[in-house]
Amino acid sequence: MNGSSHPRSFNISYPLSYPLNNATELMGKGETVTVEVPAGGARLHEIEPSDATLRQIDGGLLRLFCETDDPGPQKMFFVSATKNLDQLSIDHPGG
Amino acid sequence: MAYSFVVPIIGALHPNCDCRINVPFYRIGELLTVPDIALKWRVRLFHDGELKDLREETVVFKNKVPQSPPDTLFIGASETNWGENPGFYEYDFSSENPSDDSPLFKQFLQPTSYTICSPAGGKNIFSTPAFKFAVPPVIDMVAAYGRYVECYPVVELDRQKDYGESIGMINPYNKNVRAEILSSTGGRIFPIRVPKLSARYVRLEQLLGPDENDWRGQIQLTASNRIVTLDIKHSLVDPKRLYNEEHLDPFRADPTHVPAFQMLRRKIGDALFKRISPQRTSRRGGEVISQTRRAG
Repeated sequence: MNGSSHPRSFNISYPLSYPLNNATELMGKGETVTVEVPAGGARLHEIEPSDATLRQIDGGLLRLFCETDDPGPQKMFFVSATKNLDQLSIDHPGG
Repeated sequence: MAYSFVVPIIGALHPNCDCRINVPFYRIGELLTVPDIALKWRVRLFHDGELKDLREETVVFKNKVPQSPPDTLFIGASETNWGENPGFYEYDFSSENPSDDSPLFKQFLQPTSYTICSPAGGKNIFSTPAFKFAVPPVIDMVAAYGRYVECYPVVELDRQKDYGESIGMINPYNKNVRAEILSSTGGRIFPIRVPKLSARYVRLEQLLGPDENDWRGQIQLTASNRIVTLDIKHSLVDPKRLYNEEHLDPFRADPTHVPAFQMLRRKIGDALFKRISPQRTSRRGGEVISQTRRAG
């Protein structure tokens, strides 16, 4: 969600390597997706890891890092849902 | 100040759900006061007063970095097929030597992360683990009110829309707990009894009158002792279809307004704590832990 008066980019990176206090460090050849959000707008982006990433995490947990370098009002949410969106819940990423 | 223990972590084990517990071993390493040590990681599964399973593993830290840390702890639905009532897990860390009471940890509240529950045929549910004891707002609350008091502000029940809701109650202590739920419109669920080392669901549709289709409001839970509580949203027709889990919030007794000089002292204390704390935060973004399933 972009509450500012200009467009901004959000970067979503995964899978993360440990240690997590260096959270931008990707595990091996990680993926980074950029989501452009217009001024005063919101976008829903589905996380679709590549087959290589899925093999890498081997059925385990996928750790994501979401960031935007642009200061200003913004909010990110995590939507956990079934594929057809008939069930969903919303949570917040950890800082 | 350093401590010989960390407070155990508690979480629910819902029937018919796979459970993945993500333990942040690297952040545990950051809490250590010594660089090289072997810690015992102990996980216990309880149901209806019985210890159902005990898993212990040694985690070796070198220069505070875990060496080959265990994978995400997976507890399959088939392992917790114990009946209608939920169970719960509890895990902690200690020295491998039981007589060792040396101060190993810089703080006694260990870092936690979401647990992910995967019901058969449904979406994943994020579950927030709870500390077993030593939570300052809870200590303040019981000191001020003499009872355990928690609230949840957004209950919604609807027969037509199939909105059901329950309070999950985990009693990880060796004493039975009596509890009561009051609604903002005068409804009451009483008595509620949660035996020791057990967990229960309290179905909130009891707040719906026989001719009522829906109810929206707030609830307050009081109990004779501390208890770990969860709000669970589910199908009213089939309560096994879980949609979401949230934690309740303590009815806080700490003052909401303090003198300006005291506020300044707190801010200085917070700033100093952030400088020395291993759990620094980023203002730029956030981390999410997710679990993906392969298509099909």
